[in-house]
Amino acid sequence: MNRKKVAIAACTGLDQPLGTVARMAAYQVLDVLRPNSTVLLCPPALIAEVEEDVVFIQENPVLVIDGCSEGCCERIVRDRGGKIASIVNAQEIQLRSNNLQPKSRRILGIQGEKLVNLVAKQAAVEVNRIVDQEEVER
Amino acid sequence: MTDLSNHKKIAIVACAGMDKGLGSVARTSVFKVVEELRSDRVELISLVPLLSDVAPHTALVTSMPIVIVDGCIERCATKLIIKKGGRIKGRVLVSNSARKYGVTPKSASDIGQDGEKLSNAIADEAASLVDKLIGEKKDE
Repeated sequence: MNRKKVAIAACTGLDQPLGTVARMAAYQVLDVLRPNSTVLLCPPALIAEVEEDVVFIQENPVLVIDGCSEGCCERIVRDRGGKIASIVNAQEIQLRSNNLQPKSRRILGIQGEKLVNLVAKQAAVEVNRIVDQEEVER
Repeated sequence: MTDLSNHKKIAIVACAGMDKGLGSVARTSVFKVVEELRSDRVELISLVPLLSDVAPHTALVTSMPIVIVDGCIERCATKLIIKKGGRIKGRVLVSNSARKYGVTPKSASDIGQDGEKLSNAIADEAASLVDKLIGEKKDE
């Protein structure tokens, strides 16, 4: 039987550096930390209600990595009936981590990179937890 | 808060797709326009908040001429802005520019040196479009 993969949905907002932090953290989880147990979701495709993407989030656990308190990504996934298994919020991690400040949206700088690593690490922990949970439920 | 009656500014929109290097180049180039090249002349519209009806993106889309930087031939950004009633006055397509300059971004997560070169060239193209549109406005 095929194991379900965790779908990573990251903030695609462009107006705040925390959006860039969320995206870079998602890439780190997908490319480096948990490449075999995750797949990338595309929020614009969900908004456009592309059937393949909508069905996928209804059948697989979703880990949302939001940038700020607006929670746009969470809302998009929830509105399309997605199974949200966990949410990691970059702003909340920032507040718990000496308020690390990304330099800009384009260049995150040393503090921004540190924040990316913290968000990615938290997301990877959540991926493990979701995968374990799915194993128990099978 | 943005003065929406101020027509000396242009709104700029980038591809929000995360799965291709072309989308990452689109975003990097738009950030350069917004943060460095024309910071006093442009307002950034972010697609996902716009489509989730978050202010001020919803107001910006119908109040300013728009320049779009699309990543690939799907042109999602263009389609979504049209759907929201935006007036598109200029467009750059990253995949076309990649062919024109003969460079390809490394990946979505790391566009690499070629991707940086491409994003700089596209940022310059977009900044020129902004200048042209503001010049046109002065003549109106």
